[in-house]
Amino acid sequence: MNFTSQRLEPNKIVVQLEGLLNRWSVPKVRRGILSLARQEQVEVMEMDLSRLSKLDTAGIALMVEVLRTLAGKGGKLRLTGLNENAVKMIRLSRLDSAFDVEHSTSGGS
Amino acid sequence: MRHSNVIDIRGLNSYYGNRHVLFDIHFAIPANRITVIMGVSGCGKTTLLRHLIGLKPSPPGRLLVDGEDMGGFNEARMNQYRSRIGVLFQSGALFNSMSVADNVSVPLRVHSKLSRETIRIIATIKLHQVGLSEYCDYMPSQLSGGMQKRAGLARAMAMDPEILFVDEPSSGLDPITAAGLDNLILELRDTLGMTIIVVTHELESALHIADQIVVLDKGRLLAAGSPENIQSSQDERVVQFLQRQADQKHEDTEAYIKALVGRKLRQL
Repeated sequence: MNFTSQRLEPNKIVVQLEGLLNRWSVPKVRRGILSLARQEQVEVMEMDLSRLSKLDTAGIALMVEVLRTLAGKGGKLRLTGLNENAVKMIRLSRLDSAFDVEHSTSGGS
Repeated sequence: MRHSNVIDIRGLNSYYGNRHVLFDIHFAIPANRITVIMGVSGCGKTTLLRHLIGLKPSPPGRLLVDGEDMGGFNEARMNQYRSRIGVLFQSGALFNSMSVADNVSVPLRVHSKLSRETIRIIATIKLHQVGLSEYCDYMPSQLSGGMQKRAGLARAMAMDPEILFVDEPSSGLDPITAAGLDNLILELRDTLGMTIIVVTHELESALHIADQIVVLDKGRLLAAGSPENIQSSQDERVVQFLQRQADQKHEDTEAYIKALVGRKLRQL
């Protein structure tokens, strides 16, 4: 699992995830992703999942932690590029309404 | 290459002491499918489950996991297998000294390096899936039997296991909650591609969720096939089971009296 980040605007950051986001990889990337969300100016994080090959409940839990961090300062988490696995996992976790999801990409509903 | 059958059972016999309880069991458990093991109480369902999860040792060559002989597993290999499976025991088997959420967290604490916060969120998600997210901080003794069973299922699902074993998921549950669990089991197969083995004698539930049904009778494999195949079976015992007909045979009176009296009575 790799992730890269890009600051688009002073208050908006895009994080692109690549590979597997699961119970083995989450401990390796959690601190880095949460530290981006905690940056004082960041209010919106866009998480690009288009290069994510697999997502499990641990990955969903990391997204919840990011959402919790951003919501605590009035910000939001936006998910883009969801594949079918990601859409199903979010639905299975009953979190469809919690995330701001862009549905226009492949596999979205 | 992934084996199309996750588990192959090839001529499994099982004993408790000298008592022979499973006789030459043969069948395969296909990947990403729901296999339901059925049969009357005492037919050997739970014993078979204990072999499948490695709680009861299997003789060499009789039980293969992804083509590998489980009878030859050393402790490390068995632990690796156990990290791939989730198990709901018949009783729920919660730890009474831990809260419900802590119970669900146990497999993740043992088998992952996830943070406490992440584990807590996963536990809440899993408890929500079984309708218990409002009971995270309750102790098991504060839950009904049916709720304890659902909490046990949440714990079995905590690791998103590749293989999920579920022993009597619906027993003690009201029909609406039981139907909800059936739907969840189907969703786990469809969303995560889980291989799921359900032990039950709830016929309606089995016909609803099963891709394959295996019927045991007195420790022997009576039938195995799709729900349609099982329903059209002409086998007398399968028909009796499906039609819920009581056993016509009575207990062996002679053996019963001998057990009470201590000897066989002389015919007068």
